Amino acid sequence: MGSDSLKISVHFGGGAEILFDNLKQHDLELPLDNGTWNLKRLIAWIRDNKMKSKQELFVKDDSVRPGILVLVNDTDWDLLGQTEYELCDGDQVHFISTLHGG
Amino acid sequence: MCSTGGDDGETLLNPKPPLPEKGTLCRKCKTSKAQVILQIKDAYCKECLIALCNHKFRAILGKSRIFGNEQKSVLVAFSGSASSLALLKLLSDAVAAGPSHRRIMACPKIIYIDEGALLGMSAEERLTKCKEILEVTAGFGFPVYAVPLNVQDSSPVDITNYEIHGNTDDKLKSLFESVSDTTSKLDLLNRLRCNVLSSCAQQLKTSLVMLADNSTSVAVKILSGVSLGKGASISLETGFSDSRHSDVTFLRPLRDFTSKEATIFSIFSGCPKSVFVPSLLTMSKMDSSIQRLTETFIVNLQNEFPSTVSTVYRTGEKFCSTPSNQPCAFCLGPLDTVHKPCSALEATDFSRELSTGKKPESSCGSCDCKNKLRSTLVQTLCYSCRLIVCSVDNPELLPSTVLENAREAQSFSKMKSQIEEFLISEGE
Repeated sequence: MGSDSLKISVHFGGGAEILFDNLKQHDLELPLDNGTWNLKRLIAWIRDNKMKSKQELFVKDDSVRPGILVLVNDTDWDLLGQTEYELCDGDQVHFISTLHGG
Repeated sequence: MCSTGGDDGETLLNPKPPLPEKGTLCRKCKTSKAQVILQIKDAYCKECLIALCNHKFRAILGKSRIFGNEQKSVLVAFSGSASSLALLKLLSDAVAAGPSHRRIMACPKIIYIDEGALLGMSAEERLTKCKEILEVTAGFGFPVYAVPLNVQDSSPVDITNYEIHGNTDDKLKSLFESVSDTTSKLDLLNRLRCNVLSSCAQQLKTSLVMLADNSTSVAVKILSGVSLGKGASISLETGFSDSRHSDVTFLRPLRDFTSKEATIFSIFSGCPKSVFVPSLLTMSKMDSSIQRLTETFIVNLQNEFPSTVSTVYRTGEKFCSTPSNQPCAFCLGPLDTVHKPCSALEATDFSRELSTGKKPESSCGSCDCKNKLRSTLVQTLCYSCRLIVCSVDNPELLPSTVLENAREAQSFSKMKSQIEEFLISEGE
């Protein structure tokens, strides 16, 4: 064992995907050389590496913009410590926008 | 208002309490691990959340007594969003339930309004969207119709046979291009959508239309409605049922569900992934319109103070509409433009006169315009519809039903003034 990267799957829904080239699923391999990855670090990484513009439509301060739901493996991140949750190999992270719907 | 000693202010502004610990159990079954937390401290597992939503939905419909013992046709307005999917799934499960599980006797039909012409989408893109909509709705087993957003009445067609007609789109595009600001465009869009849904319901012989408005969007509508001068019709636009259109009743059975609840339900209950349909609000700047600003305000505040949406929503429920003799020619709501002494309208007109230095035309109090059609039209409109029409450069582009309603209202009031002295008023 002992892989040197963290493999996770990030999904965007509810319209958030248009900020990411309309791609709903992004399979990522995050390097483990600089310590563990929590959701705060992941969000910052997504902002810096996957977004060319309109970062304010996804990120606010250290977290996601209000109105975006975050689920990890089908569980509300509010039950997992929000940005402090530490990612594990194989995690499925969903970012779903609930804005201007209906 | 401000109360001395009452703790109302404190309870409203209480910030979020600390998050629950990991591994919290579902508050209902107390056996499974909780997977979602609603409001502040209601943690539920997947199964209990689904059961809760189904129960809430059927209770709301059951209490309204709209569906009795015979099958009633209902048109479900589908936009592709998670709330629309949640509505479809809840309705579909309620229809298929056994009699002991509060079955709802409804016969749903699904309708999708194609608004692609407004955003300059190509015919191919619009047809692709229709295909995506069909893909997610086909599994429910109900007929699916599509209709283009239009200024004149269009007929809903089976979504598989939907075609784009360029010439009818031109009128719509010209109408929206002649509107000066995004706020009025969005308001106009909402009006047109309602009119299209009402017309389609009549053509499909249904008297009920279900909308997927959740409590968050209702709270946004309440606050932005106040900003847009819609006081007279807020209760109709955000209430459970809206019967302004004569033969068609609009229902909002999801208005007790927060946007989080509806979205999580659609995911947990195995609905297909939502279809993203671009709209005028997509990628718009925060200050591009009153509606957008209000949504940002409420959603941001809700994040810090989780009782925001429910407070606005509960306050909005206390609004009511005073019926008037003639309905507004555009939104069919009550007319609130009778100049009574000390009315808000009189104060607004007085302010405008003072600040612009121009006396309002006696026939059109809202703007200094010379267009004859516009000045006769605004007399038949409520305050907020007047604001929309005054921001449209060429009122001839408005829907023909609106212009017809206005003509009828005009001739009715002319006739009434001619025979007024012979009428016995209620006081006599």
